[in-house]
Amino acid sequence: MNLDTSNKQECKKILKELVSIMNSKAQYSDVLVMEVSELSVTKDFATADVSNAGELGIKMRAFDGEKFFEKFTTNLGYDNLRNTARELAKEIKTIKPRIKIADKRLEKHFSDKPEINADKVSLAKKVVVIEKTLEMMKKQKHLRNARVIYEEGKIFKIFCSKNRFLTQKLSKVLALCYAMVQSETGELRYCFEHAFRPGFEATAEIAKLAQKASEEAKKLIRAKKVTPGKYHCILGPAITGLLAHESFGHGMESDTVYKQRALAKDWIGKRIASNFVSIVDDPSMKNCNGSYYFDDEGQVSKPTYLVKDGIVNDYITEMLTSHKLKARRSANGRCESFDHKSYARMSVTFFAKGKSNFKDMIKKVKDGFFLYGRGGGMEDPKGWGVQIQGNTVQRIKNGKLVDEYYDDVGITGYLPAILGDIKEVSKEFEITSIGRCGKGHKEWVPVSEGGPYLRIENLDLA
Amino acid sequence: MIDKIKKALEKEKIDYWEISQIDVERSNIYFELDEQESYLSGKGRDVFITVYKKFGNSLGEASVSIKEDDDIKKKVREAVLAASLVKNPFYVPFAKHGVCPKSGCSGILGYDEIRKKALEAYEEMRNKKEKLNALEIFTKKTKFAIINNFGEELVQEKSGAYVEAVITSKGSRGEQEYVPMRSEGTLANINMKEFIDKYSETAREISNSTKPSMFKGSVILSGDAIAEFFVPTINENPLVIHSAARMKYLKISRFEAGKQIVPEIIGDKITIISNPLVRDGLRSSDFDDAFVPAKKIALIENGIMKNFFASKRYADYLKIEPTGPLGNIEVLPGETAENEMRKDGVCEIAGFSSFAPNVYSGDFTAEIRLGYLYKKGKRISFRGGMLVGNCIDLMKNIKLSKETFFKSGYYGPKAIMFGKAVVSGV
Repeated sequence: MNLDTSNKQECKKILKELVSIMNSKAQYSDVLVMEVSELSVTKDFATADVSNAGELGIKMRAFDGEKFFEKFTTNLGYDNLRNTARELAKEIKTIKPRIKIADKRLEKHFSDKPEINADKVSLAKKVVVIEKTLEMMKKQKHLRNARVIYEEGKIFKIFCSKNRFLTQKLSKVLALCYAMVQSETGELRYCFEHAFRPGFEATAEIAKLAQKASEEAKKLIRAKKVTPGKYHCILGPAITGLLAHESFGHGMESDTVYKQRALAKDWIGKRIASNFVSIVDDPSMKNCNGSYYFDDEGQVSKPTYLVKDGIVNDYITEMLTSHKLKARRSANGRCESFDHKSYARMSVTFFAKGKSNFKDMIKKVKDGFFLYGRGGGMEDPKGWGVQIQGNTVQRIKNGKLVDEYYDDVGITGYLPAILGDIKEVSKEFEITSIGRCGKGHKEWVPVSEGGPYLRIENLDLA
Repeated sequence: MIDKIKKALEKEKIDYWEISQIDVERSNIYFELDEQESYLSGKGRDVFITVYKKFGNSLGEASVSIKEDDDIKKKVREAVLAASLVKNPFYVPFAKHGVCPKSGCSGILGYDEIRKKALEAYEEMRNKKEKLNALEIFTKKTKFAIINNFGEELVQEKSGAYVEAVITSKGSRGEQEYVPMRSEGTLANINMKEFIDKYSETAREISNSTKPSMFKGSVILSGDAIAEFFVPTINENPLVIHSAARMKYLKISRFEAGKQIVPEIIGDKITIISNPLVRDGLRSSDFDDAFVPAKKIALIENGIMKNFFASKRYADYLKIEPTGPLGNIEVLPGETAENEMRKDGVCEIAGFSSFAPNVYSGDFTAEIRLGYLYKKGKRISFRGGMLVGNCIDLMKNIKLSKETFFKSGYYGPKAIMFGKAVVSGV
């Protein structure tokens, strides 16, 4: 007999039994069941692809007071699951008194509520939406190629410990339009626009996304390279989010702090930016790629202020290092999949809204740049060096955006100096939901980031 | 389960089908500071089918994964429906495979063995001033089996290993870290003592480094930086991406077969080879999912685009021979001694924080974790700033060292010198 994830009561019975087997030797144990299905429809000017991938597996962990022994399997036969739990119990030789994991009683069941359930929409309709959008992009003569993508994800998770039984159903639909042009200097350049919702409603404005991507791509034909130097800049929400996530957020992950590789430890309680600057990680923010109701260690989602009113405030944590650091446990213990370990990971990370107006912020820049569009970055929690690369940039002259564009622009510098140079935060606010985040170059989890527009002086661009 | 799937597929009107089964076994150990934090192990299986349906000159195809308890007939029908909704230009999905090479599989380590490896690293660190703040060692074994509607069946087993460490050092610039990562086909290819020795020194140099000013001139990439340049951890180098038949077919590649990859070359002429046959190589494999046997091919030879690497699909579209899977990246060495490159007025980069070029344009900006400036006979270390350039355009003026090494799927010169490059300061 195999574990049937659609039968909640039966699941609870068998998972509690597995926990009980492990707890015969372990100080604490838990079980995580993950079931994921991902439909992808992709079409470009020359090819089309459809795939429907999925996985179902289980991870069990037994804790001896110091360390976890973890085992995963995709064989959900009851006998195999019981044997796996017994093997883990055997790994526990002695109980160490060092850390006692809290396990408060809780049973809850969560589910996303899409406006249009994607399951109720036929695959044929999904394909037609993609085809029509691509046909529209084909009419744009300046495009060298374009790609329209429909991605639909369903994630079902069950967490079970001695005192907890939690389930969550997450639904994600991403509509994505890439537009590619050849620049005047011969390189290929691209941009994209996307919409993210829990249901098929994500495709409602796909034609507008395609149009915007085509228009933005046109600007890249004449895009130039920026001359490296310090500039007065406005950062758009996508870049603001990268700054919050890559440059700051990674350094606030409790496992990074425990490994003594985060400068943030010396800054807790200290001012790093003006009092109108706050940075938040909030997995409970609804309808984002990085949203969830509880983390992979059974902690229910709540926001964490990493920076509050300019002061470095609190870490995001996973189970083990929150105990080791005696830090508040937040819902940030996440794993890439059931065959990976959980780490402290960000979810939806952003600068909080400010009070300024974007248009007025532009007016204050005599000669500088507006950074927007795609980009990526890399963390440096120990040195707090900033690396954000691949940004699209528009020139600002005498307080006005002018028709002059730059591509693949990088931001570098020292994080506290950059945060200290934030002069204004806009009330306009936007979360982007297309990203995946790695711990270094691995352990990929879905995240969202974004926030308001920021005005920053003396920003190093290259 | 495979027999049930075969029966279900045979009942449907499908022109071609393929079943893939991937079995993965992992054994991973994690240390925080000098404490073991976790040990994770287990086995997993993924099964998926790809079905192909002919529509005149078109071919519809779709892939669907199948889990143990799925209604297999329903899943097959879903795949057939999906295949009827997307139509690509026709191609023959499978090659006649013949004999496939064997690139080896070393298996994985058990708990006691992997823990012993980790403790070796801590032991090596014991007498150093630097500190090993974290260590992760992963080993993996993968068995990949494919079957198609012609009754052909291929199986390959591969192993993989990954080591990541956090090494910190205190110096004139305060406490600094280096996070070395190394992926190989087997843990036997990673000498833990050498790994710790080399990267302790790197961390020490970073902790005593300066901040760079703007630099324009000759820039050498060495060590981790050259390996990451040619085999970035995320995506491929644009030189490799633009050598893909898929990119050629999609009119994205800048390269033309038989022509130089850049209009003018004034330095060494680069040769880049895809080699999936390296014994226990990280990117070695025996065949691809279209049953095409792996083989060694020159992508770029003496600066000229030689062979586009091509899956069966894009080979048929471009009317060229399929090449099988992309493999380890070999770059042929030059004739210059590494140390001859290191002279006054030159900048050297030994490590990036991350090298993630734009694969289409080839442009990149990469933050420097460790670099050196050669001034008045001295080597001055620095960290920070960014190397700015274009992976393809830089090939106009390069020098390659005659000394070689391998790391994480890269086999080639220990150093490359770009005649003209820019490092932004901080």
